[in-house]
Amino acid sequence: MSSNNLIYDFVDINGINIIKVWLDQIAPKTKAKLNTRLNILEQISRAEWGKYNTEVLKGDKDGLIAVKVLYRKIQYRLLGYDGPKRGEFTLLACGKERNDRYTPLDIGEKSFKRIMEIENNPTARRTRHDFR
Amino acid sequence: MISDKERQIVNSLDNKEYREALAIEHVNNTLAIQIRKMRESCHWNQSELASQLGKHQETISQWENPDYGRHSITSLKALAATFDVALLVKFIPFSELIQDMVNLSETRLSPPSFSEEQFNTVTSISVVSSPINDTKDFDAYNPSTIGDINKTNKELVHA
Repeated sequence: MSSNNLIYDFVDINGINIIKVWLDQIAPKTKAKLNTRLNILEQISRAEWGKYNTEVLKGDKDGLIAVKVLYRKIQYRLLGYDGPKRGEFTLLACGKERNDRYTPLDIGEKSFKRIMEIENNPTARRTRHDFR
Repeated sequence: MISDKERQIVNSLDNKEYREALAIEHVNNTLAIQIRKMRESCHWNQSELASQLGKHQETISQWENPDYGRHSITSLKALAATFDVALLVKFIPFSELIQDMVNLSETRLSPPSFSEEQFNTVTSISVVSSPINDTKDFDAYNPSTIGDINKTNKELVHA
């Protein structure tokens, strides 16, 4: 397999893959769309991500990266960051965006908290993205 | 050996709705990426490609958006002709789809044009390192050309 990047999912203190839980709760078609996008992003150069509906966020989510997917007029967002190691991208939280407002409202704050948790214990607090 | 990702994708296919969407989205995403990458390798902006095809720049922008997903085969044929690459549309089993999903190399996402390919023999085809601009240059560059391949094919038929 040709992997330029490795995508990881945040795991909570109880060992639960938060990203997987969220993806399992949405419609199968939406989940397929998000997983397909992540599969592509793993295999193209990180420098090219910006061309394919990813965005470096500003404001209260400064520096976080949103993987943006539109499906049936709903804007889905997977928030992540580059790290903890070079060539790795870790998904932190999932939500939706409407009129420049994210739901859940605390998604940025939650994401930054999760970065700290990952940086303190990268082995236990993340796992390779689950494509099931 | 099967990778963890391949195994996970295989397991996800039990849900029919999911596997249908996965196949469609893979096509949507790879087409969008291929169109952009081939345009960039030609050093064209979207307006330049649009004028080659008699389309508006906005249409090219839509085609390069992985969320678009409404490319017509007619448009794809026109793009293939413009980029001088082949277009292959066919039905495949899901096992083949998975192989395509996990093996997206640069060459597969941005296929070389005809003039960038080097046809050495019938059984061995490779890509030259530096692009050649047209078939005339190609003939001059490589003594083993399409003509030789056709000749070899005839010899094989008569053998």
